[in-house]
Amino acid sequence: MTKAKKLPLDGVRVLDLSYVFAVPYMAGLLSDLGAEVIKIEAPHKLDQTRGRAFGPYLDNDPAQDPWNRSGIFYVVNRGKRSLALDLGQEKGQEIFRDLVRKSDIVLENYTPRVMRKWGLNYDELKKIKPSLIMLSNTGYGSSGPWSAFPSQGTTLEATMGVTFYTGYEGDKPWKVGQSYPDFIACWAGMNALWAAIVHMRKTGQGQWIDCGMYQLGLSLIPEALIQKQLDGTDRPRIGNEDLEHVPSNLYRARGDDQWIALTVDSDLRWAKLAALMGHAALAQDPRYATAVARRAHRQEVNELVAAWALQHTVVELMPLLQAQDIASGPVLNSKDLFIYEHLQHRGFYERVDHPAPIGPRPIIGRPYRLRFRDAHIKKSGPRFGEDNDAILRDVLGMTPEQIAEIKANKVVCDLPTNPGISGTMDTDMMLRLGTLSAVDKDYRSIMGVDR
Amino acid sequence: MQSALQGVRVLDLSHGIAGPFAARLLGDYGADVIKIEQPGKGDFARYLAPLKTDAAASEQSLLFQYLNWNKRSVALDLRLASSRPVLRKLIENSDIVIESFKPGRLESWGYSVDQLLEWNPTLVVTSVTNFGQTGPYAHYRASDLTLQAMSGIMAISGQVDREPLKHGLSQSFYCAGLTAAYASTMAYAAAQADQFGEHVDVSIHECLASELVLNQSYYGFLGAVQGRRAVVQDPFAGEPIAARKGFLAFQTGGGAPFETLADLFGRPEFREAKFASPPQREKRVPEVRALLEECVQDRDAKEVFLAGATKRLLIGMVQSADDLLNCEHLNERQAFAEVAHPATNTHLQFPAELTKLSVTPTKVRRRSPMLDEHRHEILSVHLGLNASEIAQLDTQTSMERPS
Repeated sequence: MTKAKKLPLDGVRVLDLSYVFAVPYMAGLLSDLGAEVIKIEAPHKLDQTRGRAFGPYLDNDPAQDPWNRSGIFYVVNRGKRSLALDLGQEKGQEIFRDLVRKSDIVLENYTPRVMRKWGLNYDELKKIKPSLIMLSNTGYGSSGPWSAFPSQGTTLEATMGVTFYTGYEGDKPWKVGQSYPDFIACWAGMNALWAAIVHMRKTGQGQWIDCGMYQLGLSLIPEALIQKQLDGTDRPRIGNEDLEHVPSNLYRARGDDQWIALTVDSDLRWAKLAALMGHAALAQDPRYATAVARRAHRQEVNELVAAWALQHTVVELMPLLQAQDIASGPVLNSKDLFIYEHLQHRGFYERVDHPAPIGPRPIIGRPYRLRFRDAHIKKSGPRFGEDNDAILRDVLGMTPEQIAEIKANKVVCDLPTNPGISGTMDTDMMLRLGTLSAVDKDYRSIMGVDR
Repeated sequence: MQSALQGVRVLDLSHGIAGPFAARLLGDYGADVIKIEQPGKGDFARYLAPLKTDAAASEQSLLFQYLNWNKRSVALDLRLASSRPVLRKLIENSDIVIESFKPGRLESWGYSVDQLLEWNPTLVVTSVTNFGQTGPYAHYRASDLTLQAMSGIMAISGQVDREPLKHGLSQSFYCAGLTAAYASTMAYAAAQADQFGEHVDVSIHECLASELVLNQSYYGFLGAVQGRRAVVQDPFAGEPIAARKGFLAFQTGGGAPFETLADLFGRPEFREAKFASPPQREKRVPEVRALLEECVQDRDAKEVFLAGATKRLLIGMVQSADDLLNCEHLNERQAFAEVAHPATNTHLQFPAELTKLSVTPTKVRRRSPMLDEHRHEILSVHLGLNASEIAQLDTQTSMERPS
């Protein structure tokens, strides 16, 4: 069969008023799936991903237009057009309402009071466009005693429960990864959006989606919520280990800061691992032969595996273990991921051309392949206000005179009016602290984008 | 009120956490979900902890209950020829199939995606596997730990002088379930629009690697490889800080200026110029950290959390299951639903809603099924097999079953 021609959102227009990670990422994915996405940016308040807070700037150089040089911005905002529109002005609100008439979906993550203040909350907008689907993403949702509380992913990870169950054994709770709740919100929001799209296509009726990030955390820790109700106990923090399967842990491999993860989930696989380690007799040893015995001798098992793993590189270990059907893999860092053969084979990163001076870059695509539809990153993320004129002219039919007038009144701006502090990463200090493990001058050629 | 996916028919051939969670989410939006399980044993998630050990062996898992409500169960051995006409009928009567077998396994039983699409040209087949259907690692085994290791998340987590650290519990599979669910609905919407089916090939590994948008930009735009966290961390980067009772997580950059902390704690030091900007604070991390720790050591985390929020500071507090189950905000939002189950004689509070849709609510319409509970209802009522056809299927199944 050949590919079907249409992407699921061909002909759909999305207005994206959002900032940072969760909702901008949703809108980026909708663009990959065919939508025309217009990112509406406030002239006086840059998306934090355009600036110092989240950088990094291209080659750590803010240059004259730092807001057009931030890497993270280009990843989550790929495929979009940019309109820098001041929604605080009445004229800006009028332009926005005109855009809503010609759009299908609105995405935003202001705190609940902001859209109401501008008269742009869902109840108002659906009067203009009854089939409109609107998603509001907030820390705590639109209702409840905490609804007005400010939040961001990092603090929510603790509040939503994931942090309590994360950490080294015997240590305090730990935050792990980067802005985890944002991605949960992105995917949960996509679920709601697609359900709403199906409903709208069937009935013509739009609706409003109230996404509160805090409560999403519950869905990720059912084991802990159930255990507490079952017997009043808390699931323990046990680092990288597993309550049931031993060994299931991270072990240092040969080389500089190299680690192999492996999980043995049956006695048969333990026997295979024992043979690999050159101690076949461990499979019969009553201290280790059964899952129950290994749980009772966690430390000894870990020591045995650790001593063996340290003699080999991760490149040797993974195929050895996988050949024995043992779940295993190395700790990969951000550089490894770009050059990893499996991801390259899968086409996970898409090569996207960016305006000078950035040039081509591999950009994270989607974690799934569609066999019959060509989902892809359409183009790079936009420079600030890049599509101002084109959108006003082509979508709203404005004349050059009208455009000149609203720009003169700073309703639409070609440059940010309050770009804030720019600054660079102190890479030397970060290398000293170990929070950066390397800075490769030749990263372009390593990623294969120097041509 | 009508549910968003009312009338959508989902066949859940998957097992474990990710695939079943995805199928359940579609059920929560109103889809009719039929779960096919291996006769005798059922989905292996029926044996995942927490367990209520006084119930029948295949009905002990309370986690299974969470992953499988809004579904009906039929046991059918896909390896047997006698199952084929039944599965074909089910496929013909489905809009979405979710499966999580190893790549190639379904095909080896005569159920390639091509075959399924021949039976039902507008069908969406969603495959949820560790590394996807293609590529050199397609057949590699994985666990939550190995997936987190290979995703890039662990390389940036934990302390720089200790081992990399994973997220607790089984995060990989829930992340993949969320993605597989929306990708299935998306492909269904596309298939309905142009009457052309789809195969969605979800990689759990890539779901996690999709979280690295910031950290991979460090490399992609400046060649910097992010490592783990410093031994003495910036106290405003979310690391839990011990209060008298509980832990707090602080972040800067919200609606309130930094000096608001001076008001919150009654400590004018936070107004000093040497702390005013992030670059200045970066130069004296141990000093800022010690000050903050001193400010919270005699206060309870929740009290600081509530006081900080009213001043628009970005503060989180580390909450356990108990805190969440008793949270006034979650109660007001009705985030939990009580789901009773006769097999375990339990009535637990489960998180039952992700987001609120104004017109089409999500709902737990039925508890999780016991193994093969809906055999008659599905074979006879749903598929229209008569009594002798069902008897014949049972006889053939018992004859074919490898002893």
